[in-house]
Amino acid sequence: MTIPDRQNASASISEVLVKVRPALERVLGSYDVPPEDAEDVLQDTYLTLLYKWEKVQCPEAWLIGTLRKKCIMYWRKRRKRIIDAMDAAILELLSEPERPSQERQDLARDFDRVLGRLPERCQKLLRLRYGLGLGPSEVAERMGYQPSSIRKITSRCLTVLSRELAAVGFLEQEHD
Amino acid sequence: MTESTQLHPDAESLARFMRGALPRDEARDVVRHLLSGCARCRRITGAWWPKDLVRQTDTRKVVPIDARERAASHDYQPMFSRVARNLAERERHFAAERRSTPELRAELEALPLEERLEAAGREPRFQSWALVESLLEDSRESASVQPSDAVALAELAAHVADRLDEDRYSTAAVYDLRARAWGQLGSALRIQTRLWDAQKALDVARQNLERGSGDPAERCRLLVLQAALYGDLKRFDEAFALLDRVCTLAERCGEDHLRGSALIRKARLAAQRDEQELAVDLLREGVALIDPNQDPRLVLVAGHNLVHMLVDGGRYREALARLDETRALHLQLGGRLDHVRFRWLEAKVYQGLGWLKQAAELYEEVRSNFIEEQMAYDVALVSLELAAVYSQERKNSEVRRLAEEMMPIFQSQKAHQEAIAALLFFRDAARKETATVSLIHEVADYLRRSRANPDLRFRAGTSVG
Repeated sequence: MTIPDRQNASASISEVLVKVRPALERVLGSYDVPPEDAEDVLQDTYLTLLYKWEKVQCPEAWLIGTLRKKCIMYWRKRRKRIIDAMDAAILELLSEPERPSQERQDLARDFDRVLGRLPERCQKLLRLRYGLGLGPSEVAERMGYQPSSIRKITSRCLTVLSRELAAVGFLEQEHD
Repeated sequence: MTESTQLHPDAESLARFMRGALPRDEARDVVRHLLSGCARCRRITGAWWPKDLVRQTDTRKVVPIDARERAASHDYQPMFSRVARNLAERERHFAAERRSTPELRAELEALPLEERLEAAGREPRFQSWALVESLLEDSRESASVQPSDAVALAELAAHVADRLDEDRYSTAAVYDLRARAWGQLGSALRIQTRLWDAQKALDVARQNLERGSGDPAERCRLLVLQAALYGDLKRFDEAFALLDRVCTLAERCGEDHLRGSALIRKARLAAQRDEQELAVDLLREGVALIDPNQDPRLVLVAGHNLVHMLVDGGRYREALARLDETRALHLQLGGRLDHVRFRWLEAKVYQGLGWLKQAAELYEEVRSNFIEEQMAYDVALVSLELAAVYSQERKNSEVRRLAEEMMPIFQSQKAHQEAIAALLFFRDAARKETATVSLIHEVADYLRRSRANPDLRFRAGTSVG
C-alpha cells in the first residue's frame, strides 16, 4: 500500500483553487446563495475535494460540478425546513383542545380559506391529515394511493400549502 | 381577526422562521398569523422563500433562473479568503494524519483480531479518515487474494468510519466515507459468499449515502455493488434495473468509465441468465468505454468474463483461443484467488474439449486452493465437477474419495441443512458406485442455486423452491 506524500498534493490543491475561484464565484452567484451560508457550502465542497483528492480525475470540473450540486441541495434543504416547520405548527394549532371556542372557530375558518385556494387533491389530502389527524398509511388508503407513493404526494401538497401561506406568487389575491 | 392574529411578528422573526431557525412555539405563532392572510407579513415571507430552480425537461438538469441578473449581487471575496485559509489548516492536519497512518495500522494489527475493534472504538487517535481509507484500500486489494482478510479490514474500516468526528471532517464527506466503508464490507462479504450479511452491510451503506454529499459517482458505486449482490442472489431483473440506473446517471454526468463498468456487470448478469449473445455485445460495448488507467482490474474482469461466457455457451474452441491473453492479464493484474478462478475456468475449457486428464489435474489444484481458503461452497462445486470427470473416466474410487472428503469441510462451514442433505445423497451414491455424471450435475446445479436461496429444497431427481 502506498501512502502518497500530501505536501506535493497540497501545492496542487492550492493551484486548482486559485485557478477555479472565478468560476466558483459565478456558480454561487448564479444560485444566489447568501454569502453567510455560502461559506459552509464552499467549505464543505473544498473539504470533500481534499479527502477525495487522489480519486478525482479533473479537480477543476469536479469542484464546479460539486459546488453546483451543493447549491441545489442548499435550497432544497432550506425549503424543506420551512415546510416541516409549517406542517408541525399547523398540526399543533389544530390539536390544541384548550384554545377558546372563538379562536378555534377563527382558526378553522382561516384554515378553510387557505385550503380552498389549493388544488382539490391537496385539499382532500390535507383535510384528512390535519382535520381528522390521519397518518400517511390511512390517508393513502382513504384516497386510494399506494402506500409507497403517499410520502411524495403529501410532500407536494405541503409544499403547495407552504407556498400559499408564505405568499409565494399569490400576493395579488391578498387583503390587509 | 382575533387579537393574536392581528399582532404582526417582527421582520426578524419572519426572516428567522423562513430560514428554519425560529423556536417551535414562536414558529407556531408565525404560522397562525400567516393563516390569517396578513398581506404585509406575507410580503416579507414571500421574499424569503427559497429560490426556485428550473428543471429543464430536455436535459434533466436543474439550473438556476435569472443567473446573469443575480451573479453580481453578492460579494463573496472575504468568504473565499477565509475558506482558503481554513482549508490550508485542514490540509496540514490531514497530511499529518496520513503520515501517522502506517504507525496506527501497525499498532492495531499487533492486537488480536477481536481486540482491534474495541481499541479502534475506544481510542480517539485511531478514529482517523486516513486510517479508514488505508484499510479500505487494502480490503479491496485483498478481496481476490484473501477474502477473509478483506472482510476483517472492511469491518474495521466501517467501525472506525462510524466513529469519525463529523465536525472535524465535514458531515457530508463523513457519511460518504461511511457509505464506502459499509459498501466495501458488503462487497467483501459477497465475495466470501455470505450473501445475507452482505445485504445487511449494503443496507447500512445506503442509509449513510442518503445523508452524504449526494455525489452521483458515490451513488453509482453503491448501486453497482448492490447489483452484483442481486446477481449472486439470482434477482436478475432488479440487478439489471439498478445497472440501467447507473448507466443513465453516469451518462448524465459524463462518466464513461463508470458506464463501461456497469455494462460489463450487465454482461455478466446476461451470461448468468443464459443470454450469451447479449452478454458478449454488452461486454464489448463496456470494454470500449472503460479507462484502463482508472481501473486496470476491470480489464482483467472483462477478459475473464468473456472466456466464462464462451464456456457457458459451449464455445470451447473460441474460449481456448482466448486463454493465453486472459492468462497474461491474470499474471499482470490478478490476485491469488483470481488466478485460482482462472485455473478453474481453464479446467472447464479442457473438460469441454474432452481433455479429461488435464482438466482433472487442474480441478485438483483448484480444489486444494479453495480448501486452504475455507471456501466450502467452492470446494463442493469444484469437487463435483472433478467427480464428473472421474465418473466419465470410470474412476469410482476417486469419486468416492471426493465424496468422503467433501462432507467434513462443508459441515465445518455451517452450510445449511438442505445443502448438506444434497451432498449426503451424493456421498451415498458414490459409496454404492451409482454416482452418474447426470446425478453429479444435478447436485452441483442444486448447490449453485441454493447458495443464493437457502430455502430451496433438495429432492433426488428434482429440487423444489
